[in-house]
Amino acid sequence: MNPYFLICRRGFLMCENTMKILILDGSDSENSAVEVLFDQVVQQIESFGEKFDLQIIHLKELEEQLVYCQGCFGCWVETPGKCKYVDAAQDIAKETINADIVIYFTPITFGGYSALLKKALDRNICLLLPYFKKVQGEIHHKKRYKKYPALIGIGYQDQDSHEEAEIFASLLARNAINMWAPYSQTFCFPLHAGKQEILANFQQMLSQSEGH
Amino acid sequence: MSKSRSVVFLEASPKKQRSTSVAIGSNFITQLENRGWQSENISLYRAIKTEKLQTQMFRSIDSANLVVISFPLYVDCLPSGVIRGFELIHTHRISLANGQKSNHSPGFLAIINCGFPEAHHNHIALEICKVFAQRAHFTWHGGLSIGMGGVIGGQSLANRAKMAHNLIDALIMAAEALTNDQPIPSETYTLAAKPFMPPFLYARMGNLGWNMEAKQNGVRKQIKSRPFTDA
Repeated sequence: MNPYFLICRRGFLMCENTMKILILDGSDSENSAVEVLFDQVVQQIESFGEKFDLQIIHLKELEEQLVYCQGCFGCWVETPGKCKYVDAAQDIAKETINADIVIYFTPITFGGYSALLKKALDRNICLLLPYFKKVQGEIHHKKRYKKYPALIGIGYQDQDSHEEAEIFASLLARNAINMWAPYSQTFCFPLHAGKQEILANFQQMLSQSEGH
Repeated sequence: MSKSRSVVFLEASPKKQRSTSVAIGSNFITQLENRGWQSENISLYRAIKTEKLQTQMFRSIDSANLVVISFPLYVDCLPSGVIRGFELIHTHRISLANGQKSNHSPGFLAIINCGFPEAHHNHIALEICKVFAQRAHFTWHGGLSIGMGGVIGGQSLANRAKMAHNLIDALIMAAEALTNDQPIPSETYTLAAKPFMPPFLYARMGNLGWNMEAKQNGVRKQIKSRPFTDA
């Protein structure tokens, strides 16, 4: 199996430099099935070899150090490019913009991200400029940086919900437009299955992504 | 109106003052009060902070006929604190249902505003609200999706009546329908989503506004700075 599942479609394999992958772990349960899934994601990336530089941020460990985005737009018109509240969010924003791929790992929460993951993502609007620009027929914010990371969403569900999985995929696709991601993809996993089934689902998902 | 009904207004903006979400939601609550509803306002960001405040919020929600939430769109979705509030309310409502302590399903209405000219940026957040409402045993009444939130700018709708007349009319229509136990007419959603001004003008004024604010803060020349990389 080709392990380059995250990147093979957009020619990232041609990249000669080390590829930086950042996982923003928005899970907050101690469910063993979640750990199995997370370990699989990490193992896949580590199997890529030295060409990949993996960084993992477990947001649960930073939760108390992160304040909610106040919607003050200070990061646009007071301290441009940086949130005026100095906490772990500044490091997360820095790691995000310097990554080639960012993976959102999250329980699918009513179709969206967990509050924990979203707490970090809300603070990342400093990575954009305030100015409006028309993109694909609608208004978005202009780029602040030249290069933005590809986005991968890995969501898991306690119970199968096709509706929520679809919303999750739509949300990531919208984020990819707003955050100027060159590429985005989502994977959804049911957790009610046993360990073997989770592994099988994961392998199947990778194979399917290669085929596209 | 013969019977008195109660509405809980979840003010779901992280802003402590000049919140557009609160301005729009308050106007709607006033419309309901004018039709005999009893209202209670709860700051969601405050309520999620302590267990005591959460319990008070759950009690109010469980006994209400209607819950109205108004929040700004953050990155295509609900702000983090609102998701946290939903997680907590969902857990509580599920435990209530499992314990068969209540089969009461309050109505649930969402009002979402975004800073983009196009209201359709809110559609995924609306879908998420709908899923939450269904899973937490509420009766989903739909959601009002509003663009150009910057026009309101935290002012009361009365102060913006000239530009926001369609929105004000939509809020009246929604309040009237809910009071009469009728579904909210589809034209209400269309009316609420109507732009306050031509989109190109809003975008141009918005861009000028950012420059002016940056200038006032003495950072006009730094507005495009890239503090995290040279790229």
